[in-house]
Amino acid sequence: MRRLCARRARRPFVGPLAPLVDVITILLVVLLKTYSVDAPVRPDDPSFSLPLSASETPVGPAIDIDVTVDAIYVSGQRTAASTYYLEHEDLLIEELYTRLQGQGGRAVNVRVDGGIPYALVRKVLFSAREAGVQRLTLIAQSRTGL
Amino acid sequence: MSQLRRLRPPRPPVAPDLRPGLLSVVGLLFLLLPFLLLTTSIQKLTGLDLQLAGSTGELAPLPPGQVEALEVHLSAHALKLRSALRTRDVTASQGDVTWSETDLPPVDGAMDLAGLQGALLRLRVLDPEHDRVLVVPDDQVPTSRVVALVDAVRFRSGQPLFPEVVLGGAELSSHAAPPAHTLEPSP
Repeated sequence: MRRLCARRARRPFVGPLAPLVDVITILLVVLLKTYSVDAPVRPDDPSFSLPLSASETPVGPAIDIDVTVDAIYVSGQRTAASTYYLEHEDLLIEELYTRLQGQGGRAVNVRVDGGIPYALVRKVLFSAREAGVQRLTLIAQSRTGL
Repeated sequence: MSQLRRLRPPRPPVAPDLRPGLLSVVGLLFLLLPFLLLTTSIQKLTGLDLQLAGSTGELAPLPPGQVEALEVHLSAHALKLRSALRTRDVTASQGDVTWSETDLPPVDGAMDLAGLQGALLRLRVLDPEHDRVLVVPDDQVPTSRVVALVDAVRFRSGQPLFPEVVLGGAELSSHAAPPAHTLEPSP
């Protein structure tokens, strides 16, 4: 009798471990799928939001041009006022053109707030191209992110 | 002794102890989880490679096919698809093209992207070699809507539709897309 009881007590106890492993595995897969090391864009400006895209092309290294409601930034430095170029007909943004020519970059990543009218984006892209930029990439927020 | 052993019932098979294996997996997962949670970024960025209209000299020439040019115009929520198809009529001279327009009014106050993709798919079947489409948004259209349109033009249910998107707009497209009557016959 004692031997029987002892045998029953030694039976492996794996019940709660299996669902735990399942849950953690699912969590891990979700995290790996949505994993990103991209630095937040304009963390000092909470109103800035990138447009959403279904594309999954990774972003390569390039000069960052940020277009916000107030200003246009090149590599984080304020370069021109957005409001001025939204109101005026000038196609070329002189400050941006000069700045990009000075930097001599061949590729730029344009990060635009989703609410900015296309007129300003068009001017930014045109100025970059006139400055000799050969690769223009519009940055968006992936739908697969967290 | 051997007789006694024969009389004893056989021992039931003992299930192997899985705990050590499972515990090591759980331990590894518990290490990975906080590491991933702490190092991941909320924003996952993606890039849309674009070309600008007006730089036709820099664009690679398209292979000859039935579709000569494709344009998608966006104003507020309304879409218009313009396509130039080579005329195959025996009476037509070589290189003649016919422009046609398809208006896609908004559906429930939003762009009719499904309708646009359907129309683009028909053109894609007509000329599978033609990858390029010119997207011409109005100046007042917000960028988020332009990105949604570019997405819809490039991919349909994960399959590539027209992956080469050229952005246009008033001045930018003036050199790229001549109107139908001035379109030069291609060689």
